[in-house]
Amino acid sequence: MDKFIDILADALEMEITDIKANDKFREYEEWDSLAVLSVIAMIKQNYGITIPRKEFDSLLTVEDLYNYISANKG
Amino acid sequence: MIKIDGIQIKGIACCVPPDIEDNLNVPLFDADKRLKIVNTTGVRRRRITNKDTCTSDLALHAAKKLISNLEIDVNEIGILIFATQTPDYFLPATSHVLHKELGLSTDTITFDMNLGCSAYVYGLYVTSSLLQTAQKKYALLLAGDTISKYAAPDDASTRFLFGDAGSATILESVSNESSIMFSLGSDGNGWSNLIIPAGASRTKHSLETQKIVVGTDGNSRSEEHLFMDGMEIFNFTISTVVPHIQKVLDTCGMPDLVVFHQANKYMLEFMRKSLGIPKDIFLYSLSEYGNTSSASIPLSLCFNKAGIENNAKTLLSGFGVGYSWGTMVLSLKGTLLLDIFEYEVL
Repeated sequence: MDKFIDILADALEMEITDIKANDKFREYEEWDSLAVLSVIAMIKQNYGITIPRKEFDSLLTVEDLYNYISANKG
Repeated sequence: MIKIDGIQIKGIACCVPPDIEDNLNVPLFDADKRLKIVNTTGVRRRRITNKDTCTSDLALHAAKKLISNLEIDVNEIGILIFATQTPDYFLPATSHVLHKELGLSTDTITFDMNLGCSAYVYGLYVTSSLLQTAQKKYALLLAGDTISKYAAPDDASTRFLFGDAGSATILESVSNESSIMFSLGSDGNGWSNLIIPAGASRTKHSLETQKIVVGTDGNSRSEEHLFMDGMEIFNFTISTVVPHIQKVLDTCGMPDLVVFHQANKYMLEFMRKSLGIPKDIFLYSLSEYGNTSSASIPLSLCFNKAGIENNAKTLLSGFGVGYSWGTMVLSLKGTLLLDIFEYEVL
């Protein structure tokens, strides 16, 4: 989880200390359509997967995102 | 891959409207956010048509200039295809308006193609295929779009990206050994991810479809405006387009030049790096013209004409709306690339 927060912070151009597992990531000030592209690229580069829109929309917190990736990465 | 012999691209011309919208001056967000958008998308300026100028006007000007520069007899043109998603009318096909304006002969095969991001490569494939069996020497492919007419003013997901342009390409039937390689594909599962939902037959124009509402992505638009699910488009690009282009590179080798549909810089750089394409052979026109849909590939060729050497082995790839994608490898030997010029009312 720590490593994931590290690279998520990098993708969102945020401080690691500003990201917590139970944060709703869409509520970050940095979250916008450009941040979405950055996070998709980060997930593909680090975990080798893409997340379909329908499933992505059901992920609310940083931990949800981490758990999805952990369960689906190659 | 599909190989087509005996066809050469004789020339390309592009016409853009004179009005410029600078993304740093768009009245959305603060200056810092606008600068971030410019840096991420790679789009600083875009050309925007006024209400009186259509895609066909830009394409017609490009065609006339190209025909004049190449000193071609219009009676030797046997095929006219207009590739666009922004036609003049539901019917007739806009290509017939252009057929008349260009004074082409009545034995010309003439029709429109409804494709966007992949339209130029698809258009060259169809035009080349038809020209192989035609009785005439030349074919004319006109490709362009005026998507700015359909981007909602307050929709940041489209307003900062799309510009307007028209292009003309003349193909010639030749007897030498030159060949063009094509690889094309489609996946209708993505049809709703880049769409103008209302205004045609499925959901006809109404007061309701004109209402501007805030979408789930937080952007304001009506159903008659362009909607783009950037996340799904990026997913499609990563999952489908990158492996598709990799196959072409495996078959044809690394070319001298690469021109992709000018979607946005973030996505294109991701693709370029994933495919190991050197930066110095990867051409852009995004900064000055934005995403011009079906015109973005010919526009990039003309924009970078000074750096394109004769006989360069060139890879062109278009991908997006549909989903639809196509990649081709060809030589630009003997191809006349005209300077991009501005539209003037004649």
